[in-house]
Amino acid sequence: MTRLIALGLLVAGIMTAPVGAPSAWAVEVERITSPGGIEAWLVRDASTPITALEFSFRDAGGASDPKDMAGLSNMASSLLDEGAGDLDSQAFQGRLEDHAIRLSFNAGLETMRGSLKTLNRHRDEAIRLLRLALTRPRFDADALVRIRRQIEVGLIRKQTDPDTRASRIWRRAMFVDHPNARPVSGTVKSIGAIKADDLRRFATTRLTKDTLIVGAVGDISAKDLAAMLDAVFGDLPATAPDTIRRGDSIPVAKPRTRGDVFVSEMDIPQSVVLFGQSGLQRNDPDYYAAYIMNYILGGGGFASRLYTEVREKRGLVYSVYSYLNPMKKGPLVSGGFATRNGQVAEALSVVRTEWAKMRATGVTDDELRRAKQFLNGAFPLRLSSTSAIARMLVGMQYSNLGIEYLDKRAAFINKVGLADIDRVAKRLLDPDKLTVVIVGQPIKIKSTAQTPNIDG
Amino acid sequence: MAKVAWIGLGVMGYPMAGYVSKAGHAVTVYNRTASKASKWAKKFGGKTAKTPKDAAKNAIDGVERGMITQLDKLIADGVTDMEVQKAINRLQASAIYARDSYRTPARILGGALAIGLSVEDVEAWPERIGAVTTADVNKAVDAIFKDRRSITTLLLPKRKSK
Repeated sequence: MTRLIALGLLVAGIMTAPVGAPSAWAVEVERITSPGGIEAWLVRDASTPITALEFSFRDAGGASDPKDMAGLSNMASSLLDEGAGDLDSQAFQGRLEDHAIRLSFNAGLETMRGSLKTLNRHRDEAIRLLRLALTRPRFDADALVRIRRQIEVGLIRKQTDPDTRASRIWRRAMFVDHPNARPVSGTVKSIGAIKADDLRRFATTRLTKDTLIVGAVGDISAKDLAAMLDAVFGDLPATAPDTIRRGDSIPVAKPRTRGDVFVSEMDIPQSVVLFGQSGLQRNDPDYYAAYIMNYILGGGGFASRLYTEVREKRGLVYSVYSYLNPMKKGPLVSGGFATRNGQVAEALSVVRTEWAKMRATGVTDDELRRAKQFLNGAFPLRLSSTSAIARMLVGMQYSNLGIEYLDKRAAFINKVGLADIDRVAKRLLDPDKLTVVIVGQPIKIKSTAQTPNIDG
Repeated sequence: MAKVAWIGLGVMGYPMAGYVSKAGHAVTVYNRTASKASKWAKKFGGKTAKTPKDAAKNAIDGVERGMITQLDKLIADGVTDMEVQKAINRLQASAIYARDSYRTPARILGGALAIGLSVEDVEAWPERIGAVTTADVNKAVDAIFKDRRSITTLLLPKRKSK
């Protein structure tokens, strides 16, 4: 069956018409404002008769959940398409299915995202269903109970997953009581307390026009998109009441990086290790220098220094990596690996050595050249579908990258010189301040401070 | 109501089996430590089994019977025009969505060419799907299901050696 379907998934035209995705980044991004004042960025791509709409609400992520209601945003995002208006869950899902409309919502730490993709011939139905989901979600009791159980089961299962435990301890270790430490999916206890009224309040106060960001890609005219924007989002409240704590009121955290090691005992043969320290914001003037530095240090898969030293030369791990996490309220540069309990100390010491080496001597001309070549060359591969491009348009708006970002990105990267990398490495990387979290039974490593309790 | 066998009442299984039971299904539980199974049965009102196999037997038979009932219904009544039309719509839509990617078309064409099909075969697929009638589908139902050449495989926990 699978083969039969796969064979046929191609219609006449694909061989002659350019596929929209690879060429789209070279084309113009248009700024569209609807009669009702809703803005969207659009890339027109007439090669396929579909429309992809991606959107995000700036302050609707898990970090802005009320303290005693962690997981509210995540639960709401799971329930928005479980019945709305006159349609109960089954009727709503049935309509999506019958019209081959793809709709999903997803809560992150900072934002709540939505994603819609439809054939143009079913666009009116897609608009209607999305408007209902956003403005008249039902939060019926049976759907609520079912989704809560689903999330609960996931949470319980993850209690014994070392990777999940490590990342939760890691965020608590770095952010302590700051909202960034809050688990986006909540806890069994916190989601058990969430009621339909809380979800309704979420929908009516956190999904507001002033926090909305929209990106659209596909075979749709500016005029049709403008009408679509008003039809979908026009009925949302303009802003939240003053009583609602907004995401932008969350202070920027000072991650706790004092060189502490936190061990959480778990009876497993391999330890999971996470490490890192403060990073920089997406709009920091040194962001691109840091981006390239990280690629060379631990971002570039087989090509990175960490990979070469820890895996290729010493065979200590299967994978080791580092990455920039430019969270608005507490950016980090972090990394991780997993290894036998007896090898944790050695692997960590290699990581620290590489951290120190990058800080002391930066990168070579050749490393810089190859990193630029990869980062510029690989970028178009990320624009792999209309939805992926639309998500990029949302990200560009969220991080204030400017409407010409797709054209300017290569220049930002090419401009970075050896001295820039030196500067940013000295600023960010300090092996003595690395915070380390280890879940497992590492040999000869002890906690230097009380490991945060995530089971309370 | 369904018959459900639940094997393992750990930190996850205990409450989950409880939810299933509370939702009105007939749950038979097995747990290595039998006292925990009894405790569960007392709390949620289900049955206990001495081995995983005993627990599963009942439930799997039930699932199989349910499946056969549906198959009988399918063979006797056939599919409806509405069901066929909806399936055609979804398959044709998936053909359009497949073009919205630069990997999928390459994969599909490569797969087709590798087994001796032509580009034309691939391109004509949505049209050929559109031409399928309810009678065609029902003929296929007969061809595939009527002789009941089905095999059921159960994967059960290894029995402890004495």
